[in-house]
Amino acid sequence: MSKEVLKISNLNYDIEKKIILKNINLSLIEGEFISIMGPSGSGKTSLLRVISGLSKQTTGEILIEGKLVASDQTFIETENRNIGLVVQDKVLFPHLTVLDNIKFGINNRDIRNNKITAMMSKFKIEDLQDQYPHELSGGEGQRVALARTLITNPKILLLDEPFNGLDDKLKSEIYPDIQSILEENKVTTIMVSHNNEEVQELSHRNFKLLNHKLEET
Amino acid sequence: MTNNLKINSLQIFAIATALIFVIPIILIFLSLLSGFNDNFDHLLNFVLYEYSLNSIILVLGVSVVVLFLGVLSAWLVSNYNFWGKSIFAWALILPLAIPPYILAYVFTEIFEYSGSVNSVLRSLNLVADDYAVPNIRSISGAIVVFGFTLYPYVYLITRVALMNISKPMLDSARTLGLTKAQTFFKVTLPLIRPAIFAGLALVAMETLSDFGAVQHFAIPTFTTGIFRTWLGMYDLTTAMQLASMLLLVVFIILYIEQWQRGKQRYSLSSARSEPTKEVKLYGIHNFMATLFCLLPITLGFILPVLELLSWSFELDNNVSSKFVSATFNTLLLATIAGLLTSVVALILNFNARTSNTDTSENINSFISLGYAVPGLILAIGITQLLTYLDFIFFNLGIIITGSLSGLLFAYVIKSYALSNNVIQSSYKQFSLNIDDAARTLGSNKYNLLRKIHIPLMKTALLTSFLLVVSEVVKELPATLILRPFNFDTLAVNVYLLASEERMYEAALPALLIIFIGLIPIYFLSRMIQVSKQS
Repeated sequence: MSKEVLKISNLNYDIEKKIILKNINLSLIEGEFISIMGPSGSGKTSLLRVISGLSKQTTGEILIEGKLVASDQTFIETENRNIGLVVQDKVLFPHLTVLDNIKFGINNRDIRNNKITAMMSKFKIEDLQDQYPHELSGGEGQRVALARTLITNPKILLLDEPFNGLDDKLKSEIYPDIQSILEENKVTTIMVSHNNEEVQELSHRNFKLLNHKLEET
Repeated sequence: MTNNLKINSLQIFAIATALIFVIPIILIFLSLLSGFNDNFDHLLNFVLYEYSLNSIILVLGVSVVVLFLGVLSAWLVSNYNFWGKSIFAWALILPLAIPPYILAYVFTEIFEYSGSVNSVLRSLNLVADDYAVPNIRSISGAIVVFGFTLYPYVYLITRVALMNISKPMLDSARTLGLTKAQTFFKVTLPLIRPAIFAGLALVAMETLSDFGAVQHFAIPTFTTGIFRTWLGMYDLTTAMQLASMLLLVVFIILYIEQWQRGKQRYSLSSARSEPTKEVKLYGIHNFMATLFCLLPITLGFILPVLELLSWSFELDNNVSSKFVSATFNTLLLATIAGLLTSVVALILNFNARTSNTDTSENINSFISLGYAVPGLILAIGITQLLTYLDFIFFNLGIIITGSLSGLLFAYVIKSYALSNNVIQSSYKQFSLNIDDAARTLGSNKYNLLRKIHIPLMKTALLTSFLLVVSEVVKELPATLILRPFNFDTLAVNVYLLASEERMYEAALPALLIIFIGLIPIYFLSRMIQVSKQS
């Protein structure tokens, strides 16, 4: 039987009394890849922030690998949830080189150097290791961001429109790499996207966030 | 749950800082509840009217001068191309490096009866045995001194506002049927009006806060009155009651400025679209524009610096032991104050950023208002607070009152706004997503600050430190009152020497104050340059 990695029960999230998410229930198993689509402002990004602990839910529970990380009484901080997050904006640390960016997360977690080399090679960024983020193209930057997150072995990966701004050729190159890395490491992934093709290609299950509610399509 | 406690401890620090900052002000206002004694009646019957009238005349007169110099020079530099324009663009800020009291000392020496200007004119038989230049030690002389040292506030803010007006905006006004003059009055002027008023409010507050210049010119104003009541009549309560009145006026000015500004903000780093095209000036227009911009720089910076330099060469042995110890004391105080203020500003801004609540932002803005409190008033409030603390902890000793703590406290309150502005702008330059990325990569808040924020804000932290240093070096009234016994700084050194008419000896410390005061000028001109290029 597959292991349940993420379980969200009766989750509600309000900002200043405005409902953002309403009665969200979701269960994901190890290695599963789901996509969430929905109109702008429907709360997709908010859902990822609540799962990661960057925002606190109003009510409801979140369990990661059976451990309660968020409830009315409990709140485990983001850095202790073992969750990776990649967003579309530039989030590489501008004062660090590509290599130092990738090493950043593993200072906190025990990972060997040969894994860094392997990861950089998989994302075809080994030649960029001494460059700074401002010297990278959009696609290169996004690949570094993905590598930086995946090298920390997150149990859950949250992708917030991570391929926006990348051209189709680059996307078709990246997708198989990502799929193989995620499958290899059995990473459970939630991707927020507007791109139907991307969703069809990568996801096992698709969801829609409409009127603050999550529905499987 | 431990991490939640960390968040709370940051917020507790922010609230505690705000409370500590506000205690001296509350103590000042509490004096109004303790009843008015005979000294207050005496002041009310004989001198309060004069204090008020002189302060009002000063503020109004200085406002006219700074409006004329500041707005016109900003208008010329922003819209026209004339000889020396690129130099004037930054050089017009230079007089900010000279505190009004130093310009007052220099102008007194230059323009008084036996000063260089009158002497030269008399030796050339251009004037009879009389003043060629009206007596500088007068209220009109003080207006000139304040006008020429404070106009850069209006110049700077107006210039930034003018830079933010884009050509397409003015073009669309023209295509909607407005003439050039109508465009100016209906579009440009309303857009820069809040900026001009903001500059004027700053100037008014600086004028009302000044002690050194009006004291030297023997003009009875609120600040000299407070000083005299406290240290001449030894009546702290009445001095505090006078201070409450002045503080109330300052807060009213502050409130009016914020109210009229509405939601507009003036930032040197604000992006602009296509800039307005500069008009090239020729002939007499070119000459007049150059002359106009040269005038405030010459009178407000070049002339006093040259005069101070010439005085400093008059003495054989300039570097006295007093000068050395005053320099050391000043740099020691300025360094500690710079570090303290920058650290407090960093922690409070970090708290505002990570907690992302209105309360944290409001606390930050509230603490920033400390810049508006006149140094003299702050000194009185802090003295009162420290006296209470000494009473509680040391049984009436003067352990805390006699230490540097009060002085450092005053400096941090006065210069917090400077640090806060720099650190806040720096924080706005990198996305919150960077913080999220660091957190999801396993960084706790401490590591986020240490490994991401501090390295990214190295320049901002250095700028903040240097700005506070330059502010502290110039500060006079609070330093004069709160310094420990026999502890002189450069500003106090200059004040004491000038009050004994030992101007040649005062020249070197004055020059050093001006030199250190040039630091923020460098940063301001660089920020304008960057903003213009963007």
